[in-house]
Amino acid sequence: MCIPKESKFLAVDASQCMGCRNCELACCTRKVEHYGNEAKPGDIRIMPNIIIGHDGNGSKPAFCRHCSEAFCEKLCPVNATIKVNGVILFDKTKCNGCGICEQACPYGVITIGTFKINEITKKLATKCDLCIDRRINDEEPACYAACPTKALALI
Amino acid sequence: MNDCYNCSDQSLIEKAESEKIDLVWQRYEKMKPLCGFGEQGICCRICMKGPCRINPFSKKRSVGICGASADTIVARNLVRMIASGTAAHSLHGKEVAKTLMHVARGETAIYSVKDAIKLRSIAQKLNIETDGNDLIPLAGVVAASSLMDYSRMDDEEICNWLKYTIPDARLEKLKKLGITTSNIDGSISDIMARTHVGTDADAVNILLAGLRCALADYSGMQVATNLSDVLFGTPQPVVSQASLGVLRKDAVNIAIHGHNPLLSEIIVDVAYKMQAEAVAAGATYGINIVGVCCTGNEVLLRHGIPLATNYLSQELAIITGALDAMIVDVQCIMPSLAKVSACYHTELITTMPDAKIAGVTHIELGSGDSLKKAELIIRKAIDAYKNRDDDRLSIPAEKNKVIAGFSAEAIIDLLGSINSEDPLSPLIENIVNGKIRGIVLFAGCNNVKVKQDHNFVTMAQKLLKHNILILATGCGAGAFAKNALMNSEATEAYAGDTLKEVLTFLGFEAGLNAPLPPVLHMGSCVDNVRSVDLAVAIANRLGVDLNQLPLVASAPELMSEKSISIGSWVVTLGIPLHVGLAPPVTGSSLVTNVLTSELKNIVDGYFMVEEDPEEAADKIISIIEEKRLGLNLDSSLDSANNIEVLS
Repeated sequence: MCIPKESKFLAVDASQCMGCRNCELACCTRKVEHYGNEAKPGDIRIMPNIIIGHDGNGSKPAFCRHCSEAFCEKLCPVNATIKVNGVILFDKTKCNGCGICEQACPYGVITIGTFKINEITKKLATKCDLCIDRRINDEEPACYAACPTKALALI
Repeated sequence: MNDCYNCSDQSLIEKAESEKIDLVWQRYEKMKPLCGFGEQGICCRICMKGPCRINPFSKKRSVGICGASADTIVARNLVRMIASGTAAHSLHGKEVAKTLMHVARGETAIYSVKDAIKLRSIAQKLNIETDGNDLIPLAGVVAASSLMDYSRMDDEEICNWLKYTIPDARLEKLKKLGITTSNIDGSISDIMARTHVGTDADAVNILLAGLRCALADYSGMQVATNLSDVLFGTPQPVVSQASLGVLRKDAVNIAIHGHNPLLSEIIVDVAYKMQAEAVAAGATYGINIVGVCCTGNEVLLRHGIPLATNYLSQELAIITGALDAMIVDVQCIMPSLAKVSACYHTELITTMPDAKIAGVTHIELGSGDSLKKAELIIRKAIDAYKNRDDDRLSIPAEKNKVIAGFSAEAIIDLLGSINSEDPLSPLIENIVNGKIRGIVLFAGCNNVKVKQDHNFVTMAQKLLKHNILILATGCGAGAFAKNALMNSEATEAYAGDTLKEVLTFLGFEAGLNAPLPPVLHMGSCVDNVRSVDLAVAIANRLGVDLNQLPLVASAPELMSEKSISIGSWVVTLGIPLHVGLAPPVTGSSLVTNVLTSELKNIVDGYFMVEEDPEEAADKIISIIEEKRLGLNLDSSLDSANNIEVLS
């Protein structure tokens, strides 16, 4: 898999988050673009991998930290995780959608999506891949690009 | 944490949860997080180049695609809220004025002039010749004079209902600022025109126009309240009950919900005549009409009809399983009622051509055959009663005694029984000698962001302890009625010693044989002008302007656009206003600064934002003491030993 040599990761300044959920929308929009005409409406369930949470003091996004000792990596029974330049990715061909990584993630940002491939509905885990396809074209991750206050940063 | 201060309301929320019915509180949780751009007023949807949002954290001065700054955008959004509130109130007023005109022309058999004394006093107030004018032609002249406020072409003139109802000093001040209005409808279109893309971009100029529109709102509310009194009678003190316990197991329960008395009065009249049908259907008590929201306040004041609930808990009336029909007109009707009523046997019926809900039975009232249609509505309620499921019935036991009906006229009459020469003197004397420190008007809505009624009750209890008399309208009044603050027992329980002494004296002198309630119910939200009438009477009697009186207004749980327009005219008339939530203006430091401090230099009134009810009460007390000092009355601010009063 082609990955830029140097990876930049997401960071957040929660005080600047307005809770507008543009990042959630951008994440989903990119996924929809990704599937293109493969799927008819209703075939797939798309969930964002950046999720705005809310406590008494305001809102703040939760997103994948690409942990160095990641629970998703450790607990995956089929070894479907790949780590490239510190970025954790899932191998779609291995993943069987068991959902253990979803439960293991301390940030709650792994979601199980449904995909229809050749009339067979398959469940697959999805997580933030830092928009590798966009990075190849020198584009920023969709959520970062969409954040109107730049509460999200790339470091 | 509870969602409602009132325990019976809370118990019904739990019932809804067990029945898997979503209410306003659950929908709010699901909506979170709310978008911060909207909350701060810096989202502009005025043209289709956008929508634009201003980054409040940007180091450079961020602007919209057209170049509009945060100040411009916030000011535009705010005055559009004022215009919407003004439209809501003044259309209500216009409908009432048109009805009075129909009465004068003999075009309606349903309505009539019920309060001739009020009609004559209005004519006098509006400088209309009353001698030799018979009642019905006079009604026509008063209606025409009121409708003129909606249609005047001469910009130099001033609305009758503005210039004849405020102190001269205030009128002069408003004239100098150029914010008096000659035409209510014109003020609303002025706002819509100047906030169109590429028109007014000066935030201060926009805000001044907003104040003018707010004064149009005030004029429209004066029309609505006063002409309703002519058609349906001026409220007089009346004893009734409030809270959801007023629903009866043995009756056909019908809730009337909304704002305009033109509808509710017909329903009430027709229901009285149809008791026998309800009894025949098995409801031994007959028909039990209850009020919700401001229609509830209107019929409570004029007929003593019990008040079931206020805005935020309107869905709970259906959750009791005892409500057979809910008849609604305009404003503050949650569309969710359609879904909630579908979970029960309750018939939901809309009645106004401009307020329908998809999937809900619509029976239009207001035309010639209104009485027949009202009969049809009541019959639907009786039919629904037959389908009531007793297993799902849960009527809370709590119902609290309410003494309501304190229109300005009623208060002056009541005081007049002590001193008929100078009726206001007992009230003024007690303010002067400090037994009543001042007056606070509570108004405004409920908001799901605050535990329902909590701010109202907490603040009132603290203010009463400090011997401050409280007036209440709208859903604020609903909160006090539901939570037992509008009866003589509340005076015993919460009023400070000197306030208790005065209320007890007044109550006995007026022949009630009990203290007056410490919170006086002045009516629905459109009736906020009643409290202005009282304040103006006091100000004129003392020869001062409104801003000098120890008078503060508070909307601690505000929600609607109407509350923004009312709040804006309250401050324009010179009265400080506490709000319990920040309106969507915090994205502009200029606008926020104008509203909370600069306005004080221009119109004397200003907005004070304080979310904590205890703190808010303290701040109100210190404003009242400051005003007392200004009038050379004894004040806790002028001597060290009195400062304890504040703590």
